[in-house]
Amino acid sequence: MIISNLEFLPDQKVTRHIGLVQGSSVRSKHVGRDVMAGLKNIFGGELVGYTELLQDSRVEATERMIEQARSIGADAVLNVRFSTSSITAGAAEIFVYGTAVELADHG
Amino acid sequence: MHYENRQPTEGINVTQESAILRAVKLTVAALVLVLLLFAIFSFAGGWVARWIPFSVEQKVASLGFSESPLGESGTAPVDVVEATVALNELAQRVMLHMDIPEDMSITVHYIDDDVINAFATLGGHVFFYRGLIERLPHENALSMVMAHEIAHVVHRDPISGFGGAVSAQVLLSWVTGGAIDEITRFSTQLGTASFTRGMETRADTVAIDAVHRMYGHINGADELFRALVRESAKDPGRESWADEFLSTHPMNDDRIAAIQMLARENEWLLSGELTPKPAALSGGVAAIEPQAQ
Amino acid sequence: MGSFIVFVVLLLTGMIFGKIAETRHLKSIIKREQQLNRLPAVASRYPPSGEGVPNYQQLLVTGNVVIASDYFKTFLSGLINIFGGRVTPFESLLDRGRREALLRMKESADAVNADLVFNVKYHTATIQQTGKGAIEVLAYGTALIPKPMLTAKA
Repeated sequence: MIISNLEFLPDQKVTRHIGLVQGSSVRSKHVGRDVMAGLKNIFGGELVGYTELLQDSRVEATERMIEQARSIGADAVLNVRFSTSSITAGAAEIFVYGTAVELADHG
Repeated sequence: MHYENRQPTEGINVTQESAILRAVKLTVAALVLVLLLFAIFSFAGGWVARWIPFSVEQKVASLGFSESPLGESGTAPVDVVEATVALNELAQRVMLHMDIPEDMSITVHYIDDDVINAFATLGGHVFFYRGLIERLPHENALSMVMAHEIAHVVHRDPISGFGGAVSAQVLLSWVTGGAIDEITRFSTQLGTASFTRGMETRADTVAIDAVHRMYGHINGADELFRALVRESAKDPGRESWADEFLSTHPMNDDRIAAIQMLARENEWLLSGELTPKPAALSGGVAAIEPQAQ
Repeated sequence: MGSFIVFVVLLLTGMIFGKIAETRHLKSIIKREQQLNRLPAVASRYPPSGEGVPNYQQLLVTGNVVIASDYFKTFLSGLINIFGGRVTPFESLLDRGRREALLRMKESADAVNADLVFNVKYHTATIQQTGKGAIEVLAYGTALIPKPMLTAKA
């Protein structure tokens, strides 16, 4: 499965656009992380825990999008975009979406 | 096509300035703004509150304390009842010599405590402490204080002070996000603390005029201030009550001088016969000899 | 009075440690940027094609970072909010966030021996309640990897 945020693949021919596929992941950090974040809000600096959490979320959302794409027989997902929205103070949704396509020489 | 990344100059997207200096400047500006708003809110609240009808003021006051100066139960000691009756009778006599709006009524309360104070509050309620009455040697001085407190009520000073305090409190609790509880406590003290010096001076002027009309002279009218000066001289260590009184009232010496100047301007008699206090109010340690002025 | 002292201590702590953290971070960013300038990342949407261009395999690469504002920055921005104007304390925060996220994206592209990163996009989100001040910056793009190198890696 090729995942790309380009609109086309330079060396391959897209034969069919087969719809929008998407993956989402809503996660929250545990209280301990929030306490640490509260401290960091005094000193400043990177919130490593949050960085990792959001990255994990993004990986999961991407995997879900790939699963959707696979289920409809796609060879690639193009023009992929990310979006983030905070649902409550503690939780964030990571959303990934893109165009599922079939390619000429991918069976 | 050739692709490369070149390093742009630093600091184009970030303003170079001293954050500390800016923080200090803005803090000062914010404090000035809050003080200005505080003054505006106090003044506006006080001004608006004067338009509240006296009957409404009375209803508000009745939520805070009993309408009857003798309490609801009627179990007050005999001397308290007698003192209260005498004070209210004196108030009626003083009011004959003042311009009182028709819908206004004065209720005098007697507080059996050694505090040297008297104050007017919402709804035409005037409070006299035993400590003050005991230290005033004659009725002339008592009438002066009474007229002074009644003048506050007539000028709507208590409701104005209360309105100013409430609106300033609303502002402050909005600015601080409700963090300052002290303000709440301060403004619920509806006592003397919220009168300005301007209000006090005006009340003095009206009161001295009433005393002159009542007795034909102003001898003994400034006895309150003389008594206060004497008290603080007698016991310089224990100045808490004096400080509290003086912090809102013009300096005693200034008030004595102001009264004398007013008397000179109006060619009022400075000397005259002093009237003894009503019997019910003459008890206690009042050992100050009347002085010829 | 007690709460005021706590406030001043927090303010000073934020000011000193925040400044140290910021200076250190910026220094590290500049150093790594100079190293990774050999791997161009561009916002162009159309990848190179035609004669002499190697056959590229592509891979979506991302880099993200969550950076918290310090107490002093948060306080100062609150003050600036009263009067309006340039919120300078957050300018540097956002600047560092964007550059750090791009660097991490480039680092992951570099790890798979990419030549270029194309169609780079930034995505910025606020984390936690407003006013507390923490931001997430995500940078993502398509890494173009010369084909033989990818197979060698895999």
